[in-house]
Amino acid sequence: MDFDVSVERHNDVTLVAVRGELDISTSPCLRDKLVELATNGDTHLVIDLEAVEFLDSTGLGVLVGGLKRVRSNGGDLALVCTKPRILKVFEITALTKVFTIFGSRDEAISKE
Amino acid sequence: MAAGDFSLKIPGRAEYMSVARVFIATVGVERSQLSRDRVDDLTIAVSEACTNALQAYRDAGQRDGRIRLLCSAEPGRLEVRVEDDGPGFGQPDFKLTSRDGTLTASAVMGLENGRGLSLMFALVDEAEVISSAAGTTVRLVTQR
Repeated sequence: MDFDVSVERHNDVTLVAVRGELDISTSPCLRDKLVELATNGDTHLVIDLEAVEFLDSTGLGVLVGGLKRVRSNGGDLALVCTKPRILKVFEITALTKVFTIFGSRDEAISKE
Repeated sequence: MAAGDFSLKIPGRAEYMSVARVFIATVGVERSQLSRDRVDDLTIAVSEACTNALQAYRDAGQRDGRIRLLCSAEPGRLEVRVEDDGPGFGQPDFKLTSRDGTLTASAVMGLENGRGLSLMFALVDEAEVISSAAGTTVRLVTQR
């Protein structure tokens, strides 16, 4: 199973692009990257989930953990997601009220 | 397209969760006549059930635990049982069901894996978790 996390910097915003299935097998990889970014002082994150094929509660837990981490350092974490199947998981768990979710990478970077 | 019963036994390890999902998605699409969206919902629920089983094995330090998936397909209906021999939820005779009203948001969210359980219950038409110190059985049903 292909899974990949890549990082790009756009001025003050750090874009984290996730590709593949985000479950209990792969989510530690994303968690480690988010911890590394927080340690480096990256506090304004955008996580692009457009290439995520599957997301479950383990992946949600990592995203919530990442959000708490950057907010405790005065930052924020926004998401990019338009896939109905992935958005549904955020809606059922009421996390659409917790995360700001943008429809495109450009919009997220300009507003974050 | 024919109805039928299918089973799969996998190691209770993270690398095998995607195998469980492919199994359910394939049987669902090929055998149940349910829409792809409904099969996808059930697949997420099954993945959550398998992840809970894996977590129970991890918590107990059991590295060689197995997860059994039993899938029963008929036109317009798919039922999956996910069984493990782990230590369960740490409560004797733990039971949650979505049909008799015992499932409440606060009861589920009070559990450590509440987000996964609430997802599981929300995505299917019937869900039942029966757990004891000898293992857990999760029954999930999706129908048209």
